[in-house]
Amino acid sequence: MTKRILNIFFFALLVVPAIQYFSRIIPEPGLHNVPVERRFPKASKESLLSVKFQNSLERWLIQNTGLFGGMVYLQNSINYHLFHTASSDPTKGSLMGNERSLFDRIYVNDLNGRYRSTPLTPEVIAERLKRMQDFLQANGKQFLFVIHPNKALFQPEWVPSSFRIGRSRPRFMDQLRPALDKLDVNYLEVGTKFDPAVSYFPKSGAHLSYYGMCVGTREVVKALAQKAPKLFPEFECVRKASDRAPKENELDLTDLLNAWGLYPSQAAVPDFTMEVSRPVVPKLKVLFSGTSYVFGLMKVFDELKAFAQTDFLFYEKSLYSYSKDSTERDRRAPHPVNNKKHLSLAYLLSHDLVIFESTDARVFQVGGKILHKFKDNERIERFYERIQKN
Amino acid sequence: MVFSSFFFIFLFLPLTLLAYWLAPKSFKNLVLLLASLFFYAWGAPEVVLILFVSSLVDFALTKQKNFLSNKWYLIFGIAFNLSILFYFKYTNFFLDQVNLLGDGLGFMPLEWKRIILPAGVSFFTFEKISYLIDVFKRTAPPAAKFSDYLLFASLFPHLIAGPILKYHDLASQIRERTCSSDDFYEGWTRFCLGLGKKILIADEVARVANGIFALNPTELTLPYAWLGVLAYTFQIYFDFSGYSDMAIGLARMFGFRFIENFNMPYLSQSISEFWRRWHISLGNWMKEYLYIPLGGNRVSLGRSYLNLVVVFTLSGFWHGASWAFVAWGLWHGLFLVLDRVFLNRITAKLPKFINVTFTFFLVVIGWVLFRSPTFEQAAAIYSRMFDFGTLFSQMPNYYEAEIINTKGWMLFALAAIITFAPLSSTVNSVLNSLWAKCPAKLIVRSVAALILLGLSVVSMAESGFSPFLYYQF
Repeated sequence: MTKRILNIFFFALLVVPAIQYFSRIIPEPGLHNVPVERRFPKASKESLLSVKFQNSLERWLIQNTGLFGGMVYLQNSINYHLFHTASSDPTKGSLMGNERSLFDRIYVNDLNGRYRSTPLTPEVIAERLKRMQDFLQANGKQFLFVIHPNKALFQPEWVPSSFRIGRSRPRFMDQLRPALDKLDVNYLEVGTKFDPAVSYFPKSGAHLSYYGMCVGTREVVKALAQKAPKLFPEFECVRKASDRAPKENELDLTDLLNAWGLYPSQAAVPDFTMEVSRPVVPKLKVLFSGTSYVFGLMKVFDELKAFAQTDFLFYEKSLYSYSKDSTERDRRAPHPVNNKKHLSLAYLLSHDLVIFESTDARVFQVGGKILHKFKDNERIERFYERIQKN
Repeated sequence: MVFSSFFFIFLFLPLTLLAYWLAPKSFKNLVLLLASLFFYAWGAPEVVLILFVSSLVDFALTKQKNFLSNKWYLIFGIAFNLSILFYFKYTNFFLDQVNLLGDGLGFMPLEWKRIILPAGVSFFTFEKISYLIDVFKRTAPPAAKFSDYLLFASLFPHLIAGPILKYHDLASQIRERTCSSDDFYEGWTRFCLGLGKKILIADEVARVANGIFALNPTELTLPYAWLGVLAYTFQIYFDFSGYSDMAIGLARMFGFRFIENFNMPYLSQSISEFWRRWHISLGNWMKEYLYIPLGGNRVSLGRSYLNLVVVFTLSGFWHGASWAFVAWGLWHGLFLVLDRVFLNRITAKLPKFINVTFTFFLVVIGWVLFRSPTFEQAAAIYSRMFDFGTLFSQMPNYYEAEIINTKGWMLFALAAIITFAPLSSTVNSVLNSLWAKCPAKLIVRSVAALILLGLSVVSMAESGFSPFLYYQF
């Protein structure tokens, strides 16, 4: 009799997803930034024979029965609390360090002095940056090269020994800095401006917190305002407690990422206010080029309403372009653009200010395409010749 | 279709069970047959027709008046089934070898569209051959109805990756079987156990193994080379034995009793014993349909050794069309011969612990060949496994957290404990006495099975599709 009851119970469990699908009895927790396929896959002879339909249906079933949120939430909780792990797969996603602090893999690479090999020496890169700066300044534009702050360098106490490579290699930026100084390139290493007593990196985020991003932007503005104070606002970042900020008992890691996120599309919970003591009339057109850090800068500038136009070139393997005019949806789900004009010198000059950023671990993979334009003076001379002809 | 998929567990299985229970007794086999054909068509729609037609040929052959007296029918049937296997599994390999040879002689390479091996072909070919031989040798009568035979060949619990069933083991169950509450209970608890083995252990240690095997072997240090190979050793065991548990459990839920396929193989004291505990159904098939027909133990000592090597080399080739698999089969064949020549006499005098360690070492060495796509990679891994100069070195370009995280370490340790704990008589006696004193065995077992099911399903949602290792063979 008991076995019969247990058998019925087992069978009942097998039909729970079907019941949930139709009734939604169990409330499904929401997940941020987890792509969910809502559209029922289309069946065709080709898709059936190639098993594409079957695979799509499997994914659709998992994601649409109304249990997916709960299951991901539970799995994250198990990984986080039982295994102290951010991701099941050690080769992907974030790494979890001491006191359950998350790290983006590329920042750990940076800490280990590991960067993508580049045929360009630090001296050559500095020369190209200098050439870009001179080109922009000769045309009345401003230029700033920003070195990305890195959580692993700021919170070494959260970095366990298993994140370290025994062999010590110098960081690329440590090699680049003397070359930049020598050529008088206008650069800012944002991290050097941070107060060591203040935490700008949340444990549960791989990047800067929203507040840290605000402070980082303030330092960029200060650096730019040295030459043209009237064009830039003066403001302070004030930290505040937010009801929406994740609590310690929030278990879903995607909820815990109260940071600028691993990807530009990842939303963060604001935990600061900006007190603007000197607003400006927005006049400048600004071009940002880099990764998520400079995307964060752009977002803060947008909130300050400091610029007439902000554009963002995000380089990975393909070129992405965002602009202030694009919709929020476009910003969240970028599509590569193969518009060569974004890589032209004329496009650079169509802006009043260029903020160019690079990480250590992906040295000039980001922005490398623009930098390539300045490998010598030839292209610049051709550009001027063309302008004169026109 | 994969057992460890959402579609199978929450749609295919409940619907099939429901249809099976509701169907009148005379229609139950039909329900299972239709479900099995759908199951196969779902993952290999084009091959289901081949399964159907080839089964029809087998059935027609055994219905010939002269089948029992004319061995050419049998030879034709076996050749026909093997030709399907050869086409799907070995065409690419043989044409690659021809091109390799032709390249050396200066010929233009042959070009062809590479053939994708559908899951299950290796398994159902052997099962269908067993039918032809069983009927020919009068071990079992030919199937009365084609649908009965097709059900034997396509029954979904064993269709894709075994256990490899012999026709005479299943024929009577197809004709007549019952499924009690006890059977169903045993079935689903066994299914949950297998699912847990596959999803919670095999897939997790697989991340470690895959990560390490993906690295350039020259960068590995001795500890990491061993970590990768041991992770794969546990992966293949928990993956395949998990699959077998699920297959046996599913069959039981429909009243079938399949033979066991694993019996703690890593506790074997010799390679001979290993093959009585690992993939038992393949070992039995090879013995009954290949080793014995070759002469078995009735021939001279030297000939029987040669037969052993031949059988295991073919077994290696059955697993995969590459020289590395052949070498793996040879490796096992060689130690089976050495067992008979002298090793068994030595190991009989040694403590169990030493024998188990030595056998495990041999098996692990064999898995390197099994896992490596080429001899070159296998050789590189071997050289790192025994490069004692790197014993205390760190890997120059990788840090530990990148290769194995806390979860990986914990599940690797759990896999090792589950595998080797029964070696200790103290652990065994403690566990047995605890179980004997347990007041609510049924509840404990059920709750454990349901926890495994729940954790596995949750893990599946996060990690998505993960096919079984033996689907590729």
